[in-house]
Amino acid sequence: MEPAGKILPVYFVADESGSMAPHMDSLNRGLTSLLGALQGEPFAASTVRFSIIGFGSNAVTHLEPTDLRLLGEMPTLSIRGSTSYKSAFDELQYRLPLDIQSFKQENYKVLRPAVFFLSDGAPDSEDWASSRAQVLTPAARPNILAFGIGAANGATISQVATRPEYAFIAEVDTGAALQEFIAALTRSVVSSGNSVASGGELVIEPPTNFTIAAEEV
Amino acid sequence: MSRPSGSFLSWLRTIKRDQVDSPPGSRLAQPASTRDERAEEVGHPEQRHDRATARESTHAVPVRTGVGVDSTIHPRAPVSGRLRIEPVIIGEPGPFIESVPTDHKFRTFPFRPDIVVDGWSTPEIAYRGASLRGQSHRYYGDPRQDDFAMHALESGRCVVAVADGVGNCTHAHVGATTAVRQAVRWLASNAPSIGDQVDWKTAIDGAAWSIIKQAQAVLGLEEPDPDLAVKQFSTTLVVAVIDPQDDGGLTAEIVDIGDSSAWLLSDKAGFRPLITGKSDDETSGVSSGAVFGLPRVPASPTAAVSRMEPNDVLLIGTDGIGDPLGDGDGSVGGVLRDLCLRGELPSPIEFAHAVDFSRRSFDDDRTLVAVWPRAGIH
Repeated sequence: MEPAGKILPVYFVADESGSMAPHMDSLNRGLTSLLGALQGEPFAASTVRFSIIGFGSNAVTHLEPTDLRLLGEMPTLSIRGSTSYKSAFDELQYRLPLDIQSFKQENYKVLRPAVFFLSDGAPDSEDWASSRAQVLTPAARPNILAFGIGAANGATISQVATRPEYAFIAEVDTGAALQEFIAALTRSVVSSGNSVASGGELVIEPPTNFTIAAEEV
Repeated sequence: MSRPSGSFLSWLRTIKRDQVDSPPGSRLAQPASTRDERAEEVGHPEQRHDRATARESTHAVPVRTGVGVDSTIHPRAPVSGRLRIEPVIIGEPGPFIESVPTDHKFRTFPFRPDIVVDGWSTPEIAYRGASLRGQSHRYYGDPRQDDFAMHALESGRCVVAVADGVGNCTHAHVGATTAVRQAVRWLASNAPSIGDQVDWKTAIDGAAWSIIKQAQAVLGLEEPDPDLAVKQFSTTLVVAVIDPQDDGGLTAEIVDIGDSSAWLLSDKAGFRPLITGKSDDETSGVSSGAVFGLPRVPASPTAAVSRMEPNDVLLIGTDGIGDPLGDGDGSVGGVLRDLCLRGELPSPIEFAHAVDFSRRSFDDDRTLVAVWPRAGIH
């Protein structure tokens, strides 16, 4: 067998509910800046496969796991209704095993995936916790980092994250928080990519002006 | 490629002045002065030549080679023009970049060379070792976090240590260097003779304590702080004690802490892992990036003992080698087989050059130590 290298799958799960409408342009510009940043970091980018899932009333995979060095432009996120956390976790549950299997068939060593979950509000009234639990059932479960902005509730964000220190809640308004989030996401992806390239693992770069959500509950 | 500097050109001119003729196809010349010194070192008065005569002679100069066999160095062709050594590319290459200096935030240790190369032979054991900064570290100004040390003891026993500083620890390179030096020093003092039993628990605990003390010194702490040492100085460590046997083979006793690897390589059996190194988690199907390393210590380190036949090669490597090598059946394995199983020793520079191969997606530091029984070298 010819080893192909190690990769870290990173999933950005983005809230596309109606309340995000004033900030969607900013989020899309942020993703474009992330793409530019990764393309200037060849070693980091080579070890990361970046995926984007958007959720509103339903969830869509906007970008399947991709080597960002090879991507021309980011997909555009848009508003799609309410805030179904359940649909987001169902999509993750569908994608993760499929993607890991695909990487392994190409002889990659796959590090535990990282999910960056961003929401600006309360989830729809549905049993999203069960869907989340199913995402975490396989041994290849991901690390989930949750970021709450706008009207997101600290206790809910804590329930999304897989560790207390992975749950962040913004202390500033949504526009500023979104910029901080994108900056932290970019730094985390670059640092993690570099870390994996030199034998390490996921590196979390916390956003500024966010607090650990668990401390608030 | 950077342009040769003025000093390099003058060195090249010196070589050219010292050249003697050579048949076509001979290998790149080394300065004649070096060759003459080798002839003198081995004490064959009848083989010594006057330096000037030797330089001008077009006849073969018999010398004793580095592996103790009388052979012949053929006269060499004059070198003119630019020297160029092509990179070893395996499959699709990675990015070719010029290294940047080690960043100032790592400068607690004043000198950290990009590459360390070593190699020598005793009457029973031949060895080559190379440690190279990974392309990613070269690009970002991070230091080489790998290190190794090899030492021949008076008894004929050899001891070797290989360490891989844990990626996210700022001073992991200091931890790695401290570990290999302490491990080899301890073995030289406490198990110096062939057949001496090694108290591995004490040896490994000693290496761990040295890292904690070194951390105290580097950070200027009043008291040793093991937790801080774990956070900033962690390193893997593989240590091997190699004893010659009467039949020309060797025995190797190996202990490992962390995710480095060791293999026995032979023509017939390929790469046989001697220690586990890193592997996929069979349950989850994902690989762990987390590494256990010194100064955390196992409750009781377990030694693997291996017998080496004269045609075997012992390889000890960090994951920068282990990951692209895999099970050894791929192209990296092919290059290492060719390098190590040709029945003659590669030069240390050739060895290091091969270890510095370019292959896409494999950009970690690389350290590889190869040990041959001399009986298997022609």
